[in-house]
Amino acid sequence: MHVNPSGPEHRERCRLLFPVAPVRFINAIEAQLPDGKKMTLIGITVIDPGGRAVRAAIMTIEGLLLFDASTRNDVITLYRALPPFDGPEFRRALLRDVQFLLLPPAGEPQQYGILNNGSSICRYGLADGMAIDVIVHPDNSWELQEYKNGSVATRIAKGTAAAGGLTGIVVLQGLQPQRYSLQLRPISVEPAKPNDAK
Amino acid sequence: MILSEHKGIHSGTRPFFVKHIIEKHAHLHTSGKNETLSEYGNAVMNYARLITMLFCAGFLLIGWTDSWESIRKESANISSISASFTQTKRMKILTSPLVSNGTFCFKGPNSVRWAYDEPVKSVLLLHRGTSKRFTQRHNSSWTEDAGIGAEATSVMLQEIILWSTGRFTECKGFTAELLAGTAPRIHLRPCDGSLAKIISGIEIIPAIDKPGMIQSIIIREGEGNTTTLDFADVKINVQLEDKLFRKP
Repeated sequence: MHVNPSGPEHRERCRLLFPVAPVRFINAIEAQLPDGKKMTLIGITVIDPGGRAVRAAIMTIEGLLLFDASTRNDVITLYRALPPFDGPEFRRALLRDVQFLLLPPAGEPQQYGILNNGSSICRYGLADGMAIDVIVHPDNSWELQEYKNGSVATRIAKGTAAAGGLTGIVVLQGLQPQRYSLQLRPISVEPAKPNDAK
Repeated sequence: MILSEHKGIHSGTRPFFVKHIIEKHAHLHTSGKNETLSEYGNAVMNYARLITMLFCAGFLLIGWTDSWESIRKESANISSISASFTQTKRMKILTSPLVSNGTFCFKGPNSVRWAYDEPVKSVLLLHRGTSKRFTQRHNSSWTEDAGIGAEATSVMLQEIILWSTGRFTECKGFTAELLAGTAPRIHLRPCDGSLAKIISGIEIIPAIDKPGMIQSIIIREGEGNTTTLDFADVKINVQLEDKLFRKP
């Protein structure tokens, strides 16, 4: 996508996606797994944007806590993990997905401006040839696109409302190395304290 | 006051069938460990099975100090159960509990419906030899959840048949402690380390004003995480239509 350089208001608009204060989200998660099977879970997420900290838990509808972990400064603290959610790769991937959705990429965008369709875009370069485009459309819906080597999409997310986190319907699709999708439907949103994300 | 301790598995004493149910649960959880969907399914199904069994077992606790024979005799008269429930989940990550509501139905000889109305519509069905779990998705369609397969069906149904007819066998997974007095309750504690990682204890609280009925079940997962099930509108031996036990 070609970025037409434009004013800083577009850079500010990209920030609308992300929470600016600690907040707790409870979501119904409809997951479609790499093998095509579907399941529904409940996710609890606490984010502390200032500390770039996240705590995430997954439970069944029946109340069985399957997974609970936090991350701050790339250090993961595991509180509980039942099979098959007890592997190190799962916890890294889950927390990476949460960070992808709720924390703006570190640093300033390499480019920002406007797309030909009128949407605001901020392009962030990451390590290892990865990049993330943050896009906010004129109707306030949004997209996150992660790709590597300039063109290979690895993860995308779409949301209905750029209002500081998981406040509307959000769909996350993993494309590389495995295909899966998560649809997050809000159950509740409430302010949190920074320590709640520990 | 402790009336009995570690006596739950012996006939002629206390309502130890709850222990038997949980023993089955523990056995399946310790049968191996790998990162597969089927194992996730087992975990969910076994938990669902545990809760279902506690539901059912709870309603059958006819007289906390009665003999095992009287429990068996009374349970033989149960042909159906329906109740509403409120599930309150407390976790450290939450500042206020997450509350769910639903209904539970059992119809002999082998049909169970365990349905959540909110916050996520979900139905676990056991009917005529098959077990399935459905959830209502964002587009309002009902979808069968992965992982709730046939592997647990036969065991679960066999257990239902057992408790519904009062034929309970020995259990090694939990020790039971019956505390009588003005606030009687049963404490179940896992004696198996792998099960203790999932559930650290269960507390069953009878309804004081309704003999034979359970008021609450509290499942403790450790680290201050608990699931409390409170029951209401319990009806015994009412007419339940077969369509309740089909896909919604």
